[in-house]
Amino acid sequence: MTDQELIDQLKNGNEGCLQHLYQHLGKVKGWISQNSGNDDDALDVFQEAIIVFYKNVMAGKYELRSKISTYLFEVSKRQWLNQLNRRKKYEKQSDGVVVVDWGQEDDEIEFTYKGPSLKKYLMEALEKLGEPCKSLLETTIFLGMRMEDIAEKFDYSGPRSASQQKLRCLKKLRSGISYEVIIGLK
Amino acid sequence: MEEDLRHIDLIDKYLSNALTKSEKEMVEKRIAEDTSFAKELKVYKQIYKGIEQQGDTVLKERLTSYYNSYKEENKSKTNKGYYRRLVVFGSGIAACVLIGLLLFFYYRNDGQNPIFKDVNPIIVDIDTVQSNSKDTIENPIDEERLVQEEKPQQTKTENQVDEELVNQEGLKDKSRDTVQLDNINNDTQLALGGFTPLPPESVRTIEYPLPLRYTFDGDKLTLFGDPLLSKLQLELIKNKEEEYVLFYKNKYFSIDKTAGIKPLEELRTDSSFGNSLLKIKPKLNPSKEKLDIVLEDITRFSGKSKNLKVNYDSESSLGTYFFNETENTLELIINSNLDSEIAKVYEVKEKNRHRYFLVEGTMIYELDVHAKEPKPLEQVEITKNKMARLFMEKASFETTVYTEK
Repeated sequence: MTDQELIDQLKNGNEGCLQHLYQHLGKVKGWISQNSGNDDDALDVFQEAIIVFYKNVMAGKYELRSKISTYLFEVSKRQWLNQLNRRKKYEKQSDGVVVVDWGQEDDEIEFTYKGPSLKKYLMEALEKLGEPCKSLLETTIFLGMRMEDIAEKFDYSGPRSASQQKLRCLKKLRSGISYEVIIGLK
Repeated sequence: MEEDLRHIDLIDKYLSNALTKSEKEMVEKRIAEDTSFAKELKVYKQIYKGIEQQGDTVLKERLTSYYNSYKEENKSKTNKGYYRRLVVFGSGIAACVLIGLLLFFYYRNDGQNPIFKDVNPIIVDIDTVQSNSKDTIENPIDEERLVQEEKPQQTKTENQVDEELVNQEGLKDKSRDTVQLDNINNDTQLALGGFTPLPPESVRTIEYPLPLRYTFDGDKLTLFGDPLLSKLQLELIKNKEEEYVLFYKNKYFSIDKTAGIKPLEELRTDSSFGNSLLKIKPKLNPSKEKLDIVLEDITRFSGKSKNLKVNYDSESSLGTYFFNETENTLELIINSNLDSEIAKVYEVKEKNRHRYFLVEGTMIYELDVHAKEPKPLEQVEITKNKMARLFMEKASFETTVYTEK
């Protein structure tokens, strides 16, 4: 499968072909093992890189300038260096909590925080919300897909009606959430 | 704070960095001045963050499963590949020997007359799936007769036309001596060369959707033409005259008890029920009565494809495919062994585009007709590929019958 074909497949909703990217994992493993990491670290970092790549493709932000394998390798490297830096900070901090900055790019990793989970709360709220709202919000907010693509994927008449639908879903989701509860969750 | 969509829109754009500089400044000013707006924004920030986090977790889980299947596939490729090729190669040689022997006995006498009295030698049964004798190696006279016999007929069914086409092509092919991939009659040669044609009966064309038709036995309503309908799109109503009416796409259709298959007909405006229904939607109550609705498999209404031919390489384990388009035929080459008993290729003709699917039992692959270079066969994800659901088991559900108030 060529790089362009892979991208087309992903855009067509065939997420499963991300599987093919794992053939490039070996290179990352090699590099990480030389930089104080093991195979598990490599797999973690590589998965993060795949997510960055996938989100960019879905949001229409990915441009095929270099090979996907090179891109993944570069992102993995950057991820790993970030992690090493954070580990150093982590060792210094006594509470050990690393807060992820909101609004930063996808290359931020949420790790080490354990506690009452915002994630789980939202998972349940979305479950309750049901389809198509759940998928619609996930694809727009998490994957950052464009309204044109959303309209096509969900069979809406156009980007306008897709964003209207998104807003309605947000409103519905919001109506089941209380300020006091959600604000305390991390 | 008033929860209107415009204000959510503003927050949404702010959080997804889609505002212009001046708009952004305006929002920030508002955050500073309007505490309830600021509070609201915080809630949405949390919502977005939560959705991102849960999306991330769920995607990671899926990635892990992709990784596992990647590992699994690579393991099986290295282990099984060799033996599989050995078996395939071995059976190829066995087939050569068998066919060679048969040909030897067949032509032994004087090269023309078979020593077997049987005019239809065994070769025909072995190397073609079709039961009629169309094999070019065997006897050309038979074939010409077949064509001539069919020609004078005035009315031809679709099948007959198909067969005739096949036969004419067979005759044309005979003049060419080289091994051609689209030559569906020279099965023997092709099998040895690695490519096997998928029987033309297994290459189907479907139009989607077809005009809706139905049959109704009093308990079960079967709808033909669009198996992708959702339960929510259909409402079954019983009017005061105890007649059934189907509400679909804002129209009312009368449903009669029938043993045959009838087209769905819109309710006439002059019928007593129609009048009341069409002017004002009557108030409906769910009754205790429930009926089954079955959405019939549309592949039953498929026809043999006229221009698509499929060849597969039974010795290949590449799992790739590509299309080869010539003047008036479209050829699909699959580099993978197919189970010719169950494998089918469907051309789904929608209004604006044609889509292609390979269906092998429960495995469904969508094929990209623009693939000119080998492309891996990818199983479709049923949740994402609506059209692929055409090839799944037919849907049936129970539905409540509504009555007029």
